[in-house]
Amino acid sequence: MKRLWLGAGLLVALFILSLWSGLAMGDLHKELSSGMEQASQAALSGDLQAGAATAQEVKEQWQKYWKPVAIITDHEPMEEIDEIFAQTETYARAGQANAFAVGCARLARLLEAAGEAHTPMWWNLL
Amino acid sequence: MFLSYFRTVVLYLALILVIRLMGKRQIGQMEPTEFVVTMLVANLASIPMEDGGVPLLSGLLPMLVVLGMELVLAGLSMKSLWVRKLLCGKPVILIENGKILQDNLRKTRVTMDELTGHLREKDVLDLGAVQYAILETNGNLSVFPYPGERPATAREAGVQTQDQYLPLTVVSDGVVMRQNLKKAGKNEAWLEKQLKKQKVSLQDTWLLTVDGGGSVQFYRKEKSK
Repeated sequence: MKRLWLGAGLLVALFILSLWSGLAMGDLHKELSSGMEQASQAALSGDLQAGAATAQEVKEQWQKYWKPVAIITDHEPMEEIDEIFAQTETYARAGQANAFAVGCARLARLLEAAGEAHTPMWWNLL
Repeated sequence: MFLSYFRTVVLYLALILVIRLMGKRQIGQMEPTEFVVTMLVANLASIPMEDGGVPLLSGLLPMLVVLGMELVLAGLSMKSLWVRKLLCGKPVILIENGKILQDNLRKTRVTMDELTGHLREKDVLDLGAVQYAILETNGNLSVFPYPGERPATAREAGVQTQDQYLPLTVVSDGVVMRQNLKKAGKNEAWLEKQLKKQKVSLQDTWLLTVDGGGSVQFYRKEKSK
């Protein structure tokens, strides 16, 4: 009987933890993705400096959450995101607005996809 | 390298913990579902063990979920006959009063070769000697020969038997098992007397057991060569 309750408690605790982490991951990545979208738009409209500043803020936020995210998610897509952050930074320094915008748009999509992969939606569950 | 080492240690400990919490049954005694769950848990542990890019949690979490499910279902199957039947199935009679139930053989997909093989494992060569053969839920076959075909019990043979007691280990490799000593209704003074009788110190005692009838078994520790 004790084991039954232990099992039930374990299942409930893990359910809450995994649901919370899925939702938190979704929200975080959505926020980061929209930031990169804004950076891309700013660069396309000719304000590379504003775009670079926004991208920098997003990168700092990404780095802040990098460790907890790495506990939950596969490291490969995270490394790809890191690489593109480094690329876009270089494009911004070199004044290549178009390449920077493309990099930001790619990052926006990758971050969005990384968040979506964890959200508890039926298409992910099935 | 260190990461692999560390992850393997963590996952190995988690695996041991999960298997221990799931129960003590040996592979041969497992229900098919238990066997599959054990294999599944071992497999889940192996993924983050060999791939450093996969978080440890992605192996630990499913392992803990499987453990939780297993504990809940095992608990429920103890409480409910319906759950037990659903998870483990029910024993099926394959031979009843010497008659092979072919329908049940078909239902359980047991061939005649397998049936005779199982019977041979139980030292039964003559099918006609079997009164009942039951396929248990863990896949084992219980065989009951006709009373005239099985060895006589002591009672049937009219032989007087002595009571049987479970021996308790009181000293193991020079260490006193105080709980067993107490359970056997003995004390340190009794132990000392026993050792004196054997002319040996506690350190030189390999095994000392005592049963409910007071019978003592003693083995001296051998010097390593």
